[in-house]
Amino acid sequence: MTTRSPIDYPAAPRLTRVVLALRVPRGEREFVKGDLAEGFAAARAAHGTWRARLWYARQLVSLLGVPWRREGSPRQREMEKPIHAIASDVRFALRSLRRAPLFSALVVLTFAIGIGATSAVFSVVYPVVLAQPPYPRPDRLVMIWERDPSGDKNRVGFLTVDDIRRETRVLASAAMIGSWTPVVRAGDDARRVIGARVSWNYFSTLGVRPALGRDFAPDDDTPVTRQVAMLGHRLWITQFGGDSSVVGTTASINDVEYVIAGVMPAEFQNLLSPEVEIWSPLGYAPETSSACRTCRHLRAVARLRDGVSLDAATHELDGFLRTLRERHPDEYGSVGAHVTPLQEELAGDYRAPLLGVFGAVALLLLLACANVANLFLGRASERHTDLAIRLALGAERSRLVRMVSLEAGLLALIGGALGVALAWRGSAALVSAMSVPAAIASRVEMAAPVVLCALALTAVCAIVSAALPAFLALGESSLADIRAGARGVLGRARHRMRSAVVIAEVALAVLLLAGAGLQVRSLREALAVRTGFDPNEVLTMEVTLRGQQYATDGASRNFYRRLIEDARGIPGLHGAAVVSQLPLGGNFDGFGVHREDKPAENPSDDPGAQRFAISPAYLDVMRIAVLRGRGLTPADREGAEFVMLINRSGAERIYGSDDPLGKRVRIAGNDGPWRTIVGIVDDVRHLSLEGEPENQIYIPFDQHPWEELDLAVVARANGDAASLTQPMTQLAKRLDAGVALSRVRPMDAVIGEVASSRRLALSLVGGFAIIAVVLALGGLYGVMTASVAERVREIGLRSALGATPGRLVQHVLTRGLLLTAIGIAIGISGLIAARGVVQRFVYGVSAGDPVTLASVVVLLAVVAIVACIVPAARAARIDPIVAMREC
Amino acid sequence: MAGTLGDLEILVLLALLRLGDDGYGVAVQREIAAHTPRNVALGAVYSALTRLEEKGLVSATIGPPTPTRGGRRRKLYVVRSAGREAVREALGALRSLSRGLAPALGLR
Repeated sequence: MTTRSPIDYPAAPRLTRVVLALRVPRGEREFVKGDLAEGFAAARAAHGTWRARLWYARQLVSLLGVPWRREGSPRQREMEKPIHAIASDVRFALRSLRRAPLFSALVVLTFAIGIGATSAVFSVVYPVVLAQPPYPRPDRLVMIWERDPSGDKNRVGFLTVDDIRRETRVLASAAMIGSWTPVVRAGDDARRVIGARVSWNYFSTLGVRPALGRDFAPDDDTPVTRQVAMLGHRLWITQFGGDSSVVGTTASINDVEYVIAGVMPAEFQNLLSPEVEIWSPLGYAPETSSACRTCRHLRAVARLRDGVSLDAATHELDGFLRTLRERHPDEYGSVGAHVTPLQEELAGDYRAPLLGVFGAVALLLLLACANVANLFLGRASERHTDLAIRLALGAERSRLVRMVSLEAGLLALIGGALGVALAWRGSAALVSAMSVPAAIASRVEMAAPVVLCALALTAVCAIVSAALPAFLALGESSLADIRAGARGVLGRARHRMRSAVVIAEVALAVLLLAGAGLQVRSLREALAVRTGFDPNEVLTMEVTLRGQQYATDGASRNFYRRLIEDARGIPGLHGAAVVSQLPLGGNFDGFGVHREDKPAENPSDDPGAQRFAISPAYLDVMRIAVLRGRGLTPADREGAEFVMLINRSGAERIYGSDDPLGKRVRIAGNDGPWRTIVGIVDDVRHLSLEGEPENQIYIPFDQHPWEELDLAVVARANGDAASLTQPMTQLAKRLDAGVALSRVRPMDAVIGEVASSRRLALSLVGGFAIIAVVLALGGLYGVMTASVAERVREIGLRSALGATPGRLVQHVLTRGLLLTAIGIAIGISGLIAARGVVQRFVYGVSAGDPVTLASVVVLLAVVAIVACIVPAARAARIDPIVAMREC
Repeated sequence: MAGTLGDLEILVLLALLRLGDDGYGVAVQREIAAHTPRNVALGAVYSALTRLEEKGLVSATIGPPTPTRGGRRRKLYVVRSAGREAVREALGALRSLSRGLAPALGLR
């Protein structure tokens, strides 16, 4: 506070202060005080002290009634208006930040990285994991699955849902979805599109209506009348030119005339199968062969009746499925139902990795805040004397607090704005790098919640990291600081706080580094997994045959046989074969495997397996090893003995210690032929590169119970697989000009795609970890430098008392390493505490993997030494004489 | 013309004119006390000065720190031309209104 001289308030000092504070604007006080002092002196000289005091009191009272303009000078007056005061404070803050460009840039950059990364990840996490699907009353929508014997979700048969619809009371409506890949013909152009066969009430269950035409009606959904189609907006534009007159006319789909019932609106998102562009009624009746209870190929989506809770629905449906099992014991191996909210269902596979990345980015934001707090603490140190002087000169504490918090707020604002800009670009990069399906990607946008999230983050960052140190600095600043030089003694609380921040930073860095390390090891594990086949130099091509010419028996088989025969003539082609489903292609046919030698009491309880129909050369082209017995030969054809191959894991799981070779099994229903196992082949990674290999069986496509119209062709090249693309497509088109081809690409590209989401998680978490290390390095460096600078006198004293430079370096290093060690200990305890959570995001490696943890510790120790070496060297160079004199 | 002047405002303007470059709060008070029987309080002077400044009749500048005032500065007021005009008008009104009233007022 200001020092007082006797002339300040010649009489009634308390009253004067009260009157001045209450009634006289700040800008006028000096002049009023001056007038009072001058007048008092004159009155005393003329009339003596007592009269002077009376005069003084009268003047004071008269001051109470003055209708002051707000301030004396026009400029001061401007500043007194609140808005101008803030503007002037902002100007001041900007000026003072401009004078510290390095500090400002560092803070803004740190904020931008933290807020940008968090917002980018949140912009993906929000729609995919958190947001409700864009349908009316989305919380009432659920998926219904049968629970299979292993407790997993299984698709349902038509009759099951039909019974649920008729006999339970918890659902307002339930719809079924089956797959459909029709070829839509428009003129000469035949295009294979992805469609869906759905119950007539599919759209009404979701709560959406077509933009043009009519919704499906119950009458459309019978085996006879199902030639009705609903077009997706995109297909309507691309294939039908966006012509609204097509509604009500017919289109050739799979060479059958379909009536186009309507067109869905452009904004309709078919989240259950985002690629679907056309819908047609399922058209099942209870007696339809594929409507059976064991024909579990349908998904069921339902809307809960009003007032029915998810728990109540689960309870009733679960119980009902048990009733069904009692009624039809041969047809239900399962013992209940899974009822899951649609929203949860849609997040699906992306939930875990996204939440993992989100966790990592939240840590990063914390770290960024810690670093900004550190920077501000450092600045508070430097400005300590400055603030003390301002206070001494009469600056109001509140005004200084406002000024310092404004600095923090401004930097946070600029950082936040930069961060949102970064996030804007970043989320697009994230989506493309993670190969998020288009329909989910289309939901990723800078939606209001995301921007709000960024704003909230900015505010929190500003408060946590910047304003707190500001208050701390002001709380400590006092006149005494100027005299004490603000060194050593007064900075202790602040110093402790900086140390705590550094410890927190190191701990966070440990978590992020360990996360990144575990991701690296997971990826290595995943990529090192034997795929069971050789993807290099193999071209894949999916073929769809449609048309009347394939209605006769053997026609499609003949097409594929000719295709692989003729392919041999292509130069550079080593061999070609067909398969019903490509490895890592995302789909499979699952069938029950029923042993002849040990029949199960209930065939529904028998294990299942992925079943592949192949041409004999398939194993050779894909280089899948035959471990025992033999592979398939051209002799295994129609009419010959039914044979099959089984994979190693399947053989072990199904046969245990028995030798499967020569044993006979039935696959699928009870009416199929017995097939003899003639060979055991290596496991093939079919669904993903991770996890246990599934049970797999191979049958000759000539002995397949029904003819497949759609098969995939694999061709091995002598060299680059892409060189086969053109000759193979030309060959297929020559055999049938109307053939639809898709996914013509090298097999190794498929593998790369499968690993890409993990690779993305790795690169993100890895990037965060690198930022974390840099931040921790900077934080440690800052604290150690400040600590050395504040202890110049102490170090000088030590040096004067005979400490060698070596000992001084050691002294500083020890302190830095101690902070690091505490941080590492806390970080590792945190990691171990969160092991359960972390384990969900890694594969093939334990969350507490000692190799990873050891590497993290070593890396951080090295970083700590690097951060401390410069301040340590500075300490060693301190000249004791200079140090003592300076202080 | 910024409205009519109160009589205190006229007194303050006249005092400021007399004080020239040295017109400030307490000096104005002293000047009025020296030449009139009125004992005006500082608060009244400040009120008048504030009103005059708002009407644009006087302008304020800040003077140098003064030792006799404990090192404080003065806020100095000078009469602007509009102020002189206002004083002229007010005095003119007095003069023309009082013309011929000397006997009635018992003057002379």
